Amino acid sequence: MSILQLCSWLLLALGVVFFLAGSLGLLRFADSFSRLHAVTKADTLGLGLVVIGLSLQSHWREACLMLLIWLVVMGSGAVSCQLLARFSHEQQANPVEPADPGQED
Amino acid sequence: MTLVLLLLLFSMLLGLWRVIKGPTLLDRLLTIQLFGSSGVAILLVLSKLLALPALLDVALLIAILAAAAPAALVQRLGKSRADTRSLGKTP
Amino acid sequence: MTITLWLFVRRSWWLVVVAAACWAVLTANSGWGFFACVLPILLLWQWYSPLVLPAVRWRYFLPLLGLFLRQLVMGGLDVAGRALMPQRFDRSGFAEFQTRLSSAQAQMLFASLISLLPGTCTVSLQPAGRLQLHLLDTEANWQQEVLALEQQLALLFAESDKQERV
Repeated sequence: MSILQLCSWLLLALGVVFFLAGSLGLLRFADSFSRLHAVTKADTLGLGLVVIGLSLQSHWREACLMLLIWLVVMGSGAVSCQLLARFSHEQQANPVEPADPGQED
Repeated sequence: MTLVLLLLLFSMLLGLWRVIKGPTLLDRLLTIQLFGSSGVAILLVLSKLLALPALLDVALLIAILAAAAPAALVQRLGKSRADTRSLGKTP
Repeated sequence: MTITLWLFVRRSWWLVVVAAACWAVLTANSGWGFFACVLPILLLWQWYSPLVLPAVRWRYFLPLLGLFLRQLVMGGLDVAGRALMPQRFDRSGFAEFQTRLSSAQAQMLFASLISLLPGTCTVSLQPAGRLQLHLLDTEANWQQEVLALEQQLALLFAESDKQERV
């Protein structure tokens, strides 16, 4: 096994670890906004590592396409994180219907 | 590769639990985000595993849809809120 | 006429380069005949409603990219570490930050990039550059990272002189 392949596998494994950590954070963090952090950051980094790991094994054109996909996911992550946070914050500030019990755990 | 795929799928399934339990709407919307990024990762790995470059295009499409979905949902939900309260958005 | 044409070329050459690069990547380097048909339409569009790049000093782009990638890795590690930590922690909270960036584009970019910094996430961008942030850990030193990012963005958008005057 060449060094390139070894690096690729290491990066893939590391990316998967970040994905799992992100999901675990989604389950374990105490409030909704912290969960938002977990999903956006850990998954963006995990996807980046997976993309780099796969790029080492593939044709340069596929690598470019994967990089493009990563950029799209990163941009969407940053923007929708902001949108969801603002929406949820406004909703908490002036809720429409009375909050059901157990809104926060 | 297969192990990587299974682990990614597992991390997606963990997100489903938050949809069922999730106390607020934000938690449920977050899972869309999670599904977008891990779905893209699964498709990328799958395209390598099966040697199907076309799956990369599918991944790109999923990424774009995952970007649009939260924006559309927030717009829609915000609009229905404004209707019920008959109030404009807070500046 | 020649001056107008020259200005148009100066303002839009990047669009052609970006479009060609996207085409090459998305179509696996084929179908250039069709691209030759699409390009005039694109240029016509650009002529009537121009898409202008913001005035950016490109030599500051690479340092910003480096800072951003480093912070991306730090942010991921930070979140992953907290998620895998055995005990639950609860020190999250909200904070406000007054940015000194003046242009709307710079503020938008700043707000988006903050979401990928370790432990911070933008909640809303209010008029006059007031940012509402959510912090994962209110006891961490988040101001330093945010200020470093703001500094880099100010350099990129050539706003550093305004900053010193304030």
